Amino acid sequence: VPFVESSEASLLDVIDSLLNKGVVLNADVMLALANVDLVYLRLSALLVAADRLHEG
Amino acid sequence: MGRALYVYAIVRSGIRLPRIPGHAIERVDIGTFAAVAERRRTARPLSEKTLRDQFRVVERLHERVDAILPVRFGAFVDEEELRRIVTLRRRALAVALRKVRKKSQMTVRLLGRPAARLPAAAAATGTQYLLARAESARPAVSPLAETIRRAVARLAAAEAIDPGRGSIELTLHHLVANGRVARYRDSIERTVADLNSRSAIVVSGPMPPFAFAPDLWNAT
Repeated sequence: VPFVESSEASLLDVIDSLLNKGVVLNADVMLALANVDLVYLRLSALLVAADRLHEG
Repeated sequence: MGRALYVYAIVRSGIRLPRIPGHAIERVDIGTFAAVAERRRTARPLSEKTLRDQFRVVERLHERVDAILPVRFGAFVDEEELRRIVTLRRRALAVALRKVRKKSQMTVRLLGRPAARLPAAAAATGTQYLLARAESARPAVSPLAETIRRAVARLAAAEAIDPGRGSIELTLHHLVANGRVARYRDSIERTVADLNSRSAIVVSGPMPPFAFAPDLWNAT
């Protein structure tokens, strides 16, 4: 199984953590971000990494 | 015009905060908790730059503070509102802070297509219907994911699973004691080395425990 590890957060980690996780303190955030599908719009970096893995 | 608080994290009260270049963060003590926040006139706009910047702030706090609950992006609240919700949800916050103390989040992403679930059979009773609904909402866990879960079960204090989507088959988040992170990584690497699977695996962390922050809206 191709395996990659990184101690530095990828863009996906950053987006996924801050938009989908974490303590929610105000309902406005939920509404404001409800339609933001940034996580999957900006997957290109991860996909490139995945392609390289498969090539290797 | 007063400034509202942009909140980055919840920690225990009384701790000493590190200096974070470019940010005038302060501790707002609320009972035994404290919000790590910055006074601003406007909320932070959503962009890759601001997301990365907030992630760095929380990472820096996580490096210096024993227990931290990261707050989701965009938490721009007035102080009174902040005090009210923290006080109202103090039990959930206390439990969560104990749980994440001296621990980090490790995240494992399995790349590939999410496993398709079979449509639920027709239910004869209401109970069967509800059980079928609950089952279909649970993320499908592939044999590879199950192997990884078993490999790190003894090293993980807690686990959260996100269902697959797009090019990600499944995401596993584990809460791991800071001193066991290297063993966690080694354990996964050893486990998957000899497996024959079309999935690739990306392990990231250690990072602040975002996936283990409590849901304050549904807490009691």
